[in-house]
Amino acid sequence: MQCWRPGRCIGLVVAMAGLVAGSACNQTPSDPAPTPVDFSPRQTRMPGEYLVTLAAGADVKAIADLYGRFGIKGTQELGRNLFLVRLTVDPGPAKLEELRSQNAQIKAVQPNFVYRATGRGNIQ
Amino acid sequence: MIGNGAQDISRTGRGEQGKSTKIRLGAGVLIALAHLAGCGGGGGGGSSPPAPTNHTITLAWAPNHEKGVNSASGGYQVSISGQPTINVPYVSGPTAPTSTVTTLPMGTYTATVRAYAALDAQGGGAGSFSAPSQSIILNVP
Amino acid sequence: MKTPLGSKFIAALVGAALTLYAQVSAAPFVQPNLPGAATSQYVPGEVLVKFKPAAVAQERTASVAALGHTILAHLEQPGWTYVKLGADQSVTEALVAYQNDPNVEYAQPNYIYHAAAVPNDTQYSQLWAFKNTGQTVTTGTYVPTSGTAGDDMNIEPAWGHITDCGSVVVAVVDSGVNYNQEDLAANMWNGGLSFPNHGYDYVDNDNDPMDLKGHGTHVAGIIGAAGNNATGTTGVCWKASIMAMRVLDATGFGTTASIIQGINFAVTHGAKVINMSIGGGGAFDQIFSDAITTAQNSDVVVVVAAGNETSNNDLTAVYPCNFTQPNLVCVAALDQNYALASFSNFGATSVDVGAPGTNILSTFAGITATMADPLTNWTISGGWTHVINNTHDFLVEPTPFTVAKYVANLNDTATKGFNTSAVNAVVLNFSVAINLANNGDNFVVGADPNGANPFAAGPLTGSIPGPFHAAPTTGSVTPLHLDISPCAGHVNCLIGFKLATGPSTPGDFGIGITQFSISTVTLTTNTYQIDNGTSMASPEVAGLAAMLRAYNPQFTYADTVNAIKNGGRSVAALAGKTTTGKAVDVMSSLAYINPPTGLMAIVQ
Repeated sequence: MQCWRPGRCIGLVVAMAGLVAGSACNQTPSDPAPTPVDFSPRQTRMPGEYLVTLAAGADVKAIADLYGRFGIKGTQELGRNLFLVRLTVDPGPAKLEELRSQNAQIKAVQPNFVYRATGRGNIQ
Repeated sequence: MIGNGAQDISRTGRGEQGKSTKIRLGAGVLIALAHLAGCGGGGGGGSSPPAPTNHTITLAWAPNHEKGVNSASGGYQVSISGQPTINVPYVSGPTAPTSTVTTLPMGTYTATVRAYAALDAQGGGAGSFSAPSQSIILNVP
Repeated sequence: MKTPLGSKFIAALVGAALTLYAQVSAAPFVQPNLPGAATSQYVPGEVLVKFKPAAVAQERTASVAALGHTILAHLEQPGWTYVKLGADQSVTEALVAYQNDPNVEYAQPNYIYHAAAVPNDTQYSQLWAFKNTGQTVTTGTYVPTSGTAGDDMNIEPAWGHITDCGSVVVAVVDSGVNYNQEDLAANMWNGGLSFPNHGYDYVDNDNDPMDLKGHGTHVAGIIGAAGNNATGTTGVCWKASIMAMRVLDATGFGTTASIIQGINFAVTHGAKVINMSIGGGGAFDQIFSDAITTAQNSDVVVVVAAGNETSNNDLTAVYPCNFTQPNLVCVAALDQNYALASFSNFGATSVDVGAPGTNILSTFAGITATMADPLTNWTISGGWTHVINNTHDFLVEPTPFTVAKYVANLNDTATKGFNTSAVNAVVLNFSVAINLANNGDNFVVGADPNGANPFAAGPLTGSIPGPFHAAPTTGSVTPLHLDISPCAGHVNCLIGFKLATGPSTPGDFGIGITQFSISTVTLTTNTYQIDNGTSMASPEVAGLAAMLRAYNPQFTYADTVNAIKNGGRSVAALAGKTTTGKAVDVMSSLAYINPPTGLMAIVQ
């Protein structure tokens, strides 16, 4: 990690949940809000993206019923009652789990975690 | 009088005289009981035949999946304490035999089985053995 | 004739057979109905007979003739005679007959021995993981680049028995595979008309898993680069069936969603080994774990990398390594002296085995290049300024950086076009310090392949919204990477940075960008490259898993995992650092025999 001022390097920790929570993107007429993305190597989950498992027999509209208040930008079916849901506003995993526990239609919800290749490249 | 054998039968297999008792190995050690043909009850009277001193026991195990075990120069070896090793070689077909029949006199024995094949860890044909299986105890009355 | 290695073993069995009770089989070697000599361990129609010292020549000749056999030779080994059987006579019957002959001491088959096989691939001598002679890896980048002879996977003897793992499909769940690479093309999974490119791409959601990073191709080559074809390198398997699952983008980045789709595809389409040279921190990933369990239920072995953070996975979990399903094997990296590689993670309860992971030469997707830019001559709109700090070029706003604070209602941009027409993959790299004070403040970075607005919402644009701070006064920078591969093939890929602020005041120190470069991959068919990492160790074990399952078609995942773990070789560097304390040993694993199970007694 390189320092702006040599000798006073302080680690930059990107806590994506805290970063995104409660924030709203600036909007200009010419530039619709881009997707908030923290592409930091320290990121552990995709902000605003969650994997939602429906209970057996549940309707997919249960996802919008429960999480629509955060703005659903997209829902992708992954099979086996599993859906990738992209939210406009990310309230954090704890909030989503709190809501899920009150709704029998949703069996599980978790972040869409990040993984990286474990090759170091052609370096020492 | 059957003595200890009778106690064993009532405690474990609840087997009746004249019936086979089949015991499968679970997580622990089990006791295989010998069939006592024609044993009469205790007490005097009657002309009961003498109790046999040797019993027939079949040992069986699940087949290994190694190609070498199930092909020429492969097979199994059964070890029973105090007894000569029993070799159970591959003969033909898809698998080597996975059972053997032996007779044992009265006594308590420990039995294990291990598999073997010709291929050794250096790539030659000097052979390899598996570690022994979990042991079982044979209590032959 | 050299004394067969098996003589002691065979003698023990034969000797034992002669002392058994009547109900026990007397012959330890019974010839099965073999489909062909190629699958037997001994030569059909031949036996070796050791006569007792007292048996004179005439008696020996008579013994052989009486059975209708022919003496081929009297061997130098005293008493041993090389005998050819009559037509349609079996080795089994001959052994029994000779054992019943009072002139005979021993009889045995004429066993077949396999020489260790050495492939003729042009770069084989650099593959220390397969044969460590103490050689120097000439393009190695991890020190040491030479090591200890004998510290390798002991694979050459195994190649004397099997080189073709093509019956076992191995899924490389990674950044894709360059399936046109000259040493991989013949060893790719046949996906038929449905999957003509040998797998699937869950990054772009199409059926072309071409590798735009190189990592997956390197991994695939370790598993199954074509062997003994006088070209390039070889994999653990000379022949293989590699399924390419692209779940990582050109920066090597992937998510739960893409990875589990890759796993499920692999399981559904018949893979029996999955390699995942990936790692992620964070909390336990239930859906990923469920996918591993699905693989277990389909009898699939999953081999994964331990990670490269030099950390103890027992204390800081890394997934998928730290999943506990019994079909999963986690692999640490060893160097050329079989020391734990300096970067390798470890774990006495979470990491299973070690394998070579430094200076590993393998197939690669193409030629890589890095184009650095000093952040000068950018088209500026607003307060962006190029400065030099401690010899490093920076693009900052506002200035002086970490002194001035930005004002409200900014929409300041810095853009520059780059010619990325002659490449196939493009990754944007830079390091940045970010200090944003308020809701409504944003740092935006983006690219447009056609030179248009790079800040329009889309897959090549991302933002970090405020409030967000590094250290308030001494901004440290963190490296970031963005896959902008849609720019590949375009002459004017316009890249831009924007500081957009809302109406709130006061502002903060803003943005400082440095170490800007563009990394590219130009696909080729004949590139090979060194790589280091537990990423390289994992596929060596995946290749071993495929070899074991190909050699033993009845093997379950449990048999395979047991053979890998128990067939390994104890290595001091792994003691207390892995569950087994062992480095994988291919030949020992091939010869490993699982203990029988289910022993029971039936009384009749």
